[in-house]
Amino acid sequence: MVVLDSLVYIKEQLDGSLTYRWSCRMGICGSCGATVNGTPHLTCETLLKDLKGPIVTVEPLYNFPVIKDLVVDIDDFMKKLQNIKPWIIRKTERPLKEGEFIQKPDEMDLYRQFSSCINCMLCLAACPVYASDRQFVGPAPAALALRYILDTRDQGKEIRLDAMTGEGGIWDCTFAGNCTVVCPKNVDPAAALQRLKVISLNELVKSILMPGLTK
Amino acid sequence: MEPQRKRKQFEPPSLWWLGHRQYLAYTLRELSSFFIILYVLLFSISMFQLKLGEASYQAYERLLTSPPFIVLSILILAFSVYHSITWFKVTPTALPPIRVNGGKMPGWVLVAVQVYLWPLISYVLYVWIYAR
Amino acid sequence: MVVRNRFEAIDWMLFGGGGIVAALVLPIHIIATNVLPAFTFAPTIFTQYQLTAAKVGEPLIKLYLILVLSLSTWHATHRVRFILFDLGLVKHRGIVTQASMVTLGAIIIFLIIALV
Repeated sequence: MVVLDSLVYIKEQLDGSLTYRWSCRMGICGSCGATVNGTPHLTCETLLKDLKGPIVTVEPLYNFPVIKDLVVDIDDFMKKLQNIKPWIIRKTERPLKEGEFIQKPDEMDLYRQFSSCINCMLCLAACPVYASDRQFVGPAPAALALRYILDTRDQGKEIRLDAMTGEGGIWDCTFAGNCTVVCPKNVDPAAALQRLKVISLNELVKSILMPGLTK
Repeated sequence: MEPQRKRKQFEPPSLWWLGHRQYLAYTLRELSSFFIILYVLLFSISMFQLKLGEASYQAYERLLTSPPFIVLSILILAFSVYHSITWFKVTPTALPPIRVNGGKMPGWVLVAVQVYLWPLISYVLYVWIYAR
Repeated sequence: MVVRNRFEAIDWMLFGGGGIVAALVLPIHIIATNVLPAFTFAPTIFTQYQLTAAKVGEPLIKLYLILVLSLSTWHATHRVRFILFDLGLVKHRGIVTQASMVTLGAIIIFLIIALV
């Protein structure tokens, strides 16, 4: 029995007004995030037998405004996700007759891990930086930005770095690592953030040493 | 039309993230930096006393070897070592995976290299600067 | 412009450099200068004025100490600044950032005056 089952039981048998999000009930849609016994979890994947203590406390995800009961306002996350442009950006379009972009398996491996993100926002709920500064871009948007930067078909590195290296950007990350600990999909957003910092530094050094080269 | 939504800000207990072991380890790791600054200040003062002459230097050394300062120094050392260990552990995450012989070099190799270099470098520095 | 906040980028670069330096080098310094002197037969010259003055007088050692301790201080003040942010103790990040850079500068200047 998982936490989601108990929420369903409460709604059906005890209090019909209890409001919570869920959808796939198998840990892939990212809808059912909540704070269980003080830590962010997907309620559909959290077995009751794995939780300590006779009392299980379920709260809405931390760091987000609450709409009702366990339903939180995710507008801020959505806005940040859009800011990093989570799609393939091309500077030079490829005519259809040239065929599709060929991507080899080892090229896909470069970003595969970061593409596993299901937008469940457990990482943002766990992040101490986001807790003290809602302007922070957050682990998930950063991990998804890296997913596209590392994609060999993408040409939008500069645009995404520009969106993420200013106010509330990647420099605010202190590598607490909470995000990676709570991520249900092993995305390792903490690694994504550190790698973005290194990539940004490379770009900065390139722009200082070879100003003509950066387009 | 957007439905009217009351945006109540749910306030988790302040500093909730300090109550978890993982997050507490992180805070301790960050606090080690206070002790590093403390050491740099103590060292600077000792170099200053060195400039002022033998009497000042020996007086300062006596202060440094008094019990409260020994305790402080051991604390500084403990936090410094904690900084070193946690630093070595996180270095692999900042780098893209390194390809070796068709596979990916596992992160622990980088950690092992640093852990191996650590006593080596320490010994070289000790011999260079501090050995009699 | 690709990297918007150049100051934070360079600050992070030096933070990283200071981190690896502090990790590899600080423990032996702390042991040799602060822990070993407590023992009477300590194998460190730091208890003796003449030997220490002679050693620290060498330009290469002076340069090494200034570099290593400055980088470590850069690393440490960066961390202190961000832990203050994380603990929610800061209303104006800009002011705290400037204050931490001033403190950093003061510590490094003190270090240089003491050594040179």
